[in-house]
Amino acid sequence: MNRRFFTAASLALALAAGFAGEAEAQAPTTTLRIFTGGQQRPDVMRQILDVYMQRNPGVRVDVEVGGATSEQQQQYLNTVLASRDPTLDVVLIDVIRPAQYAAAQWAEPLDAFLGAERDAVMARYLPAYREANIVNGRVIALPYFADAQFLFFRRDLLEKHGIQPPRTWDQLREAAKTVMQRENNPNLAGFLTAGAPIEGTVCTYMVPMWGAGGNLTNAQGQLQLNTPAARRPFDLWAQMRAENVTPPNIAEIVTDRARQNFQAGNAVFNMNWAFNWQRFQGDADSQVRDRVGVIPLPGFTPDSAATCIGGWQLAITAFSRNKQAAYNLIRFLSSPEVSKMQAILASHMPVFAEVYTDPDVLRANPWFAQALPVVQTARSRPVTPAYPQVSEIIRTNMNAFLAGTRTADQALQDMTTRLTPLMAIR
Amino acid sequence: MAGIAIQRVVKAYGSTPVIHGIDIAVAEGEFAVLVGPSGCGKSTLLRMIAGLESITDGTIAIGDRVVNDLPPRDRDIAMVFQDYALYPHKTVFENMAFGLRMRKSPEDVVKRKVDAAAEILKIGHLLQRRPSQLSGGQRQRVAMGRAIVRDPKVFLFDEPLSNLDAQLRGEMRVEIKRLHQQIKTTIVYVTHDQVEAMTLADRIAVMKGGYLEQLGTPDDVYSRPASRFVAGFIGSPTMNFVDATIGAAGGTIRLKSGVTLAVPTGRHAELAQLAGRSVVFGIRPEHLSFGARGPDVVGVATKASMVEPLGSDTLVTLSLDGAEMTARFPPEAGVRVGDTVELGISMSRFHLFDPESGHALAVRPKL
Amino acid sequence: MSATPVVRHRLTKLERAEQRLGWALLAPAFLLLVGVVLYPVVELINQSFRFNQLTMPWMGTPFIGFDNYTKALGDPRFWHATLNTLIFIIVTVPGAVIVGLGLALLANKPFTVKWPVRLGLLLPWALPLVFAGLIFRWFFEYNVGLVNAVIKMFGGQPLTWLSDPTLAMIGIFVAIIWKTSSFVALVLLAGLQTIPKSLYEAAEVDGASSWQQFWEITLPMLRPAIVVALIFRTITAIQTFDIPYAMTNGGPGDATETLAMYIHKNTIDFLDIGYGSALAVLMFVVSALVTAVYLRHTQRNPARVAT
Repeated sequence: MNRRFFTAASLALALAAGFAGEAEAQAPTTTLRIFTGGQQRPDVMRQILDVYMQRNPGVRVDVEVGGATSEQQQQYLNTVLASRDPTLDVVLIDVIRPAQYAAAQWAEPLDAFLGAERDAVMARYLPAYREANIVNGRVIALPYFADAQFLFFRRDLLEKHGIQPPRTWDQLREAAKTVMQRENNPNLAGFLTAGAPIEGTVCTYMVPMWGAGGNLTNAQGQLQLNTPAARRPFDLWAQMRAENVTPPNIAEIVTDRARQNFQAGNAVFNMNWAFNWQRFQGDADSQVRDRVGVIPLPGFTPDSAATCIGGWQLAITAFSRNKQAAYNLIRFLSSPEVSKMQAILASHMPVFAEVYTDPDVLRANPWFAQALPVVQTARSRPVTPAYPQVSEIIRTNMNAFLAGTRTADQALQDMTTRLTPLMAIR
Repeated sequence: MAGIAIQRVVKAYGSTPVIHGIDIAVAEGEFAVLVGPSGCGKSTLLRMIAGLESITDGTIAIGDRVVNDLPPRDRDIAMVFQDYALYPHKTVFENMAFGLRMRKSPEDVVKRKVDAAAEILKIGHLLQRRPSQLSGGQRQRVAMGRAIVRDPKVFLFDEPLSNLDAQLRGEMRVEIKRLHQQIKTTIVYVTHDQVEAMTLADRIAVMKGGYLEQLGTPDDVYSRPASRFVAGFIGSPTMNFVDATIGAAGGTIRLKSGVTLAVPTGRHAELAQLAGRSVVFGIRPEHLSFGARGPDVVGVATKASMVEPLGSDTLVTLSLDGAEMTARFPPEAGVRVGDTVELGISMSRFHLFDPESGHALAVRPKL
Repeated sequence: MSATPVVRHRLTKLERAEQRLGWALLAPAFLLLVGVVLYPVVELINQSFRFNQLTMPWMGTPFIGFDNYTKALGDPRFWHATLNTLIFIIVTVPGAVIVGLGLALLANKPFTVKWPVRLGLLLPWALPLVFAGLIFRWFFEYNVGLVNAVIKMFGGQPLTWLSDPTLAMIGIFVAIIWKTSSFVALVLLAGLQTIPKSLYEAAEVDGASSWQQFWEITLPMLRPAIVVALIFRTITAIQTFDIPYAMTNGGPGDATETLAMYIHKNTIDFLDIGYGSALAVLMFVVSALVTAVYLRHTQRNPARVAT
């Protein structure tokens, strides 16, 4: 904790000192308001913004903190933006949302601000984030931090029972069963992932489907739910449930509940977002500090693994009255320096490849070295303005299947019926 | 039918006693009236008979059964409440039938009894109405009807006429008296109105502050009040009270105003033992006359200070050297304020009370 | 209104001044009602006849007649949500009235220490709905929830309360009844306190047992209050949202999704204002119908008040 704090403080001081010369008394103060989520470490954002305000004395930035989940944040933003409210200048949005923001014309396109630099600036980001933020040729947002799902595991338990970290789902099931049987602890679950009807459950479906070589649509945008790959996730999770690797209540587990259970020492494996590393290692109540390992998610074969891409983007609202100042701010927030600060302070994964190999960053997060290839190959959930409906259809069916109220056939049938008209919207 | 024996009954709320050991025996078929000012404990005593209040000490027996621990429904009583307590959502018939139905009487019996009671009370045409559609007097009758259909051992009435206007009150008083004469059930009746008490009761229990002041026939409490309180409470207008001293050998009474009244020789012996004592001299307005005529009447010169004509009588307030007395004169007397009046005091009818305890000192023998 | 000719007389100066004052005093309330009730309702109906998806601003908001309504009537999800809502009404409205009646009777007893009963009565009512939902989500949680802890204590197998459709419904019933019965209890307590004590004494003397007094006096005398509680409770039950939203988010699948949740999903999540508005209008119609039925019922049987 202390070491990290000093790194951050000295970093901040160095940045502040470097720009002290420019900090002259500036005319009227511009106040910007930025919206972020409760789980995206608003405290770290505040620290970073304090640095920005020291460097730019003419600008004040207020932080508004929204709900804990991506859906809750978006529900709030939907009402604010649908009413064309100008109070928010910058909003932090989930990687799945730029298409919707572009379609609704809620985000100010950044091409004009970027000007001649546009391509050069965008080229520096990891390709997945470059693509996610350019919709129909326009830059809708700039990436703030990257994320992807990884497999967190109990290093101590695997070592105790002489088990290698799994690279396939079969290995994972066998490892989980062995540990559960030998530990004989009724509270210990084998594997946890989101199963409740929430956004995270979309990845619970998509990851094994991608791993089996499938995708929701083909290149022509046609639905591909009649393929064997589309059925693989159901088979996988049904088998896990049948063998008690996943707990009976898997259908009521939300992403953060999985994190809490794992953090309390009640699970062997947890498929979760990278930023949770900081919680497992840093939280005062963590029962698994220094007992956690993190590796790429398994595949059906050792080299067919896939993962869901996550991460958060900075968009300027179309209704902001300080767009230029807001642009200046998000350029700073999506800079390599801030990526580095976030990596050290919050173990947020950088959106620049070179920051992964920065010695300070690696000192704080040794596993970032092997995380880069995962992020580079992580897959995007469907890109569509109708994403909220698409997500709702997938997660509701996955959830119903996990709860045992729908068979794989019924779930696939319902998904096909309801997704088909949405896929027509491009 | 049954009598009621109330023996050394005490009621206390926590450590505050409100009834201090009362003994009353009500004979079978008797009409007993509990009367007294508000707060005297008369309603509490009635509710203890009914079983709606617990008995702190002593016993209450109905017939030969001590009912202290019996719930109201097992005491075989019926009660008429001050607010009638008619069930607003039930018809008159259902109200009257309620007690019988609760006791699982067959429907034909219920119908017969309700119809009979309705006939006695002349409310047969109201049976299908609801209480909100009735006048005050009609509700009163229904409340009584509900009591009599059950044919209980004892009727309890808790100020049943106090919500009626004066005229209706008079009519209902007569009805109740007639009802009692007809069915002859034991009745305990609570009222604060001494006229109701006097007109209805076989015997009256006058209560004050949780104590029984006097238990007796209407004539007893009127003619031989046991205390200054009873004397003042019974009778209207109220008895005149004047501080006085008894003269030597009981031959005279000297009022504090200085007037000395000669006592008829028949009562000398009675007063001799009080010679020289301070007393309260009491005399009712109806025992004062306009002019001193007749045996044992002593004349006193007074001045009229107020005149209240009632039509049949005229009440005149007279001052005699600082003391005041109200007299009931015939209207023909034609007294006006300021007139000098010779007041006749009927010396065979006066009462004497102890100034401290208020107890009657000389009890006039029965005439 | 009436056909009788009204004799118009010139208002005196004083009367005119009073009339102006009257209008001036009414104006704020009237404007407020127009602003927060009339305008939104009219706008809602207007939107329900339009295509309006915020994700497709280039489409504009064209008038499409009854298309949204036709879509709703052919939407199995709408019917399923409506059925769920009806189940919630049928179970939780009488449930809350029965439990609320029990609470009211308890609170009406002359306890020497009154605060535990009052607290028990007011706390669920004062608590925001969504809090109640979150509390009960923890009660029914699989690993550490109170309910499963009790089951385990008695040697039973823990149940997946929130991911089994039947159990999830039961869990939500319990939460809703707990949350709403205290409101019912407050309404009924007010009703109980208007029943004259002498009626019970009369019944007692007439030979009625406590149980008979309850059926013959309490219940009939409480009828007007019960009808009021039923109306309010039914209207809120039609709008059931927060508690299932917090407890199951409609899951498993859409097994516990209510009409209000489906409306919320369409408008707030999917930004389909037109369709969401049509669904909201349908819900409004149901509410209005239910209220009308109740009101007719109460008018036909006017509350009879003891005098």
